Amino acid sequence: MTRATKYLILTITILLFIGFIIYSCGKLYIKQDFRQAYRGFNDSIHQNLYDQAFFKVHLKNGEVSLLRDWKLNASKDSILGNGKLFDFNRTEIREGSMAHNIDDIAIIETNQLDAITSTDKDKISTLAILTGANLIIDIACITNPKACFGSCPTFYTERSHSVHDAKAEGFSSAISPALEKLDMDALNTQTSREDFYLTMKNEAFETHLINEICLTAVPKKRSEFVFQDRMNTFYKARHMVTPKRATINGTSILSQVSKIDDLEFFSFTDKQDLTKKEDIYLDFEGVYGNKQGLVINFRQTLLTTFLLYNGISYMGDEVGDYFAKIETNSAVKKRLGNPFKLLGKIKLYVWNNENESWEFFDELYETGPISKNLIIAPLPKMLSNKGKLKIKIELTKGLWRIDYLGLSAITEAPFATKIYPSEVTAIKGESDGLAKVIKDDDKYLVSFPGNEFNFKFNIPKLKNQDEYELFLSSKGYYLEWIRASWLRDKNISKLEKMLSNDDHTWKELAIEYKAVEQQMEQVFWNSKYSDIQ
Amino acid sequence: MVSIVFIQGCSSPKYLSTPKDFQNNVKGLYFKCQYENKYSKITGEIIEVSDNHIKLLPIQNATHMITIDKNAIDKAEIMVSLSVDNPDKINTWASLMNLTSIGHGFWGVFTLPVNVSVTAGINSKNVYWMKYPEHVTWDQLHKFARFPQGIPKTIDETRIK
Repeated sequence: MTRATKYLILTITILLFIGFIIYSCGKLYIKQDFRQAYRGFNDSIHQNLYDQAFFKVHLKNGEVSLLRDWKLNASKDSILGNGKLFDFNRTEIREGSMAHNIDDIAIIETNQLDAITSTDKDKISTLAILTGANLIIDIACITNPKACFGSCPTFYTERSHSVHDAKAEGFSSAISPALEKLDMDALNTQTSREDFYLTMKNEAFETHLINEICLTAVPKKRSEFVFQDRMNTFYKARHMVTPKRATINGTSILSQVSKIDDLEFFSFTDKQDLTKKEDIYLDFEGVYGNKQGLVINFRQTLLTTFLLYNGISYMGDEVGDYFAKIETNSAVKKRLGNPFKLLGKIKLYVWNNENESWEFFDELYETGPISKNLIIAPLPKMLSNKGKLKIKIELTKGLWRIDYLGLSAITEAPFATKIYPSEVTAIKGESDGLAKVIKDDDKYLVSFPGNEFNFKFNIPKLKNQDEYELFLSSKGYYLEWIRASWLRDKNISKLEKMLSNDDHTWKELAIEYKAVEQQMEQVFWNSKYSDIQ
Repeated sequence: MVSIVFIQGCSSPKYLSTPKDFQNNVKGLYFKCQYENKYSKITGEIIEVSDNHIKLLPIQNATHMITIDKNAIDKAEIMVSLSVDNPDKINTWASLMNLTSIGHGFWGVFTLPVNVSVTAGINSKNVYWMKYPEHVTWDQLHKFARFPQGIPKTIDETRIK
């Protein structure tokens, strides 16, 4: 389908839509004769109104009497009946039996109620049909709405239809313009070619706004590794040493963390405390020589996704107000980070033989459950004892998936080149220029669900090195699409308590998460945009 | 946003009675018109209709009656009652229907117009109307006033609310 055809269809749809709206805003008109008014009693008495169930008696003093039943008294000079009497402001004066002298009556009014019938049934039937149709489309997310796919932009270095192949996910914690963030991720990709292609996909029900995209290329020998630390300093290494032992609560997890592969260590959350910590102990042997760094390959579980979606659903129909406050009120923006602060970072300690105590040396945090983050945490100094080194990793139960843990002797990489894209092509979606992503400014590439963009990078020629190790920097933010089913969960009080780290609320959240934790991964991976389509 | 605008535009007036409560309504019906060469608009409860004027209690400022000359009104509409007994339920249901399109991703492009069209149609037909002068003449208007006989002289008009 050509672009012109698409625009034509869109235009016709809009015109039909407007036409239908104009047509549908028609009104229900009725005739004026549903109401009869009889001036004075004699006029009405001749109309045989005895069988009227309800009628109104307007009195000359401005009061009105609404009678359920009525009759003439024996002397035929008064109406007797049961009903209500209202004053001139139509405030009820009294209820019960009434007697109105015919000389006090100004007008008697009757209404044919058949003309004013309720159309509820027709409308409810129409809405029921419409609801059924909508439910069919909603069904994919209704099974577990909070597990619906959310990812931020995913980046691929090769053609793939599997989100498991994503090499990076950009700015996962930037859920509003005020939280726009630069995020650097190792692509775990090397190249010696003169051009390099990267595909960016929007596989979620989100709008992605990308401010800047660039690669950082670090030249290296083929046998070398290059890592980044959390400050985005690059280090080279020749070898990686796997731990001799890796244990948690006395149980070995060595097989899960000794290789960069698909096998990961993860635990489940505590039943009542989402912040409960656990410690991994690593024993290394044969550690000699220069500055060392702990290499860790990790990603998050779906706990933060669960908390984010819950927080948004608690906002209900006030979600727009809250997000507006995030933009304008720094206190609100700060409070939004409270749940994530409460969960904490991955804290790293090394055993100091001289002091015989654990010495803190770094802490790590990366948002996002999709692609893994390969990071190095340099140790402060050489603390090995006859080649032996002990490391403790403190982490929140059920929050992290650890793929690899190893030590490496490192030297700082002297050269790193920033490379901006030379071309942007829209595979699916609209791309109106390269200028939007090559500079940190107020221009954004906008990506909607299902969109895909291809970036071409011209890689500089290598000098005395074999290849480049590539890192991706992406800056921007995203806007979560609010699912209709989330609006049902509006609970501002709970949101406030959640953001205030209220113990009881967090205990409730722990119980709620526990109920879905084990199935959540499966539902999550099955509910990405392309699968639902 | 579009759906909310349309729904709000066609939403049901709170001051009208429902069909099931219409028989208990003791106030006047509501008159909606442009007057003074269409420079002024008003919607208000009909308090009194005489041979040459109508007195309305505006819904916006229900403490001051407004008298409009018969000759200043070319056309008007009279709101009789709601046509549904549960307007809030139907309005809320219709509004939520439109929001479900948000979760339809690309299909929302198609489902939103359909949802909005159907729900806007449902909401717009929530009121029974009469047109002046097509459906009701000036002489017939008085029976839809709070005081069909005219405001009694014993009542201080400033106290009517």
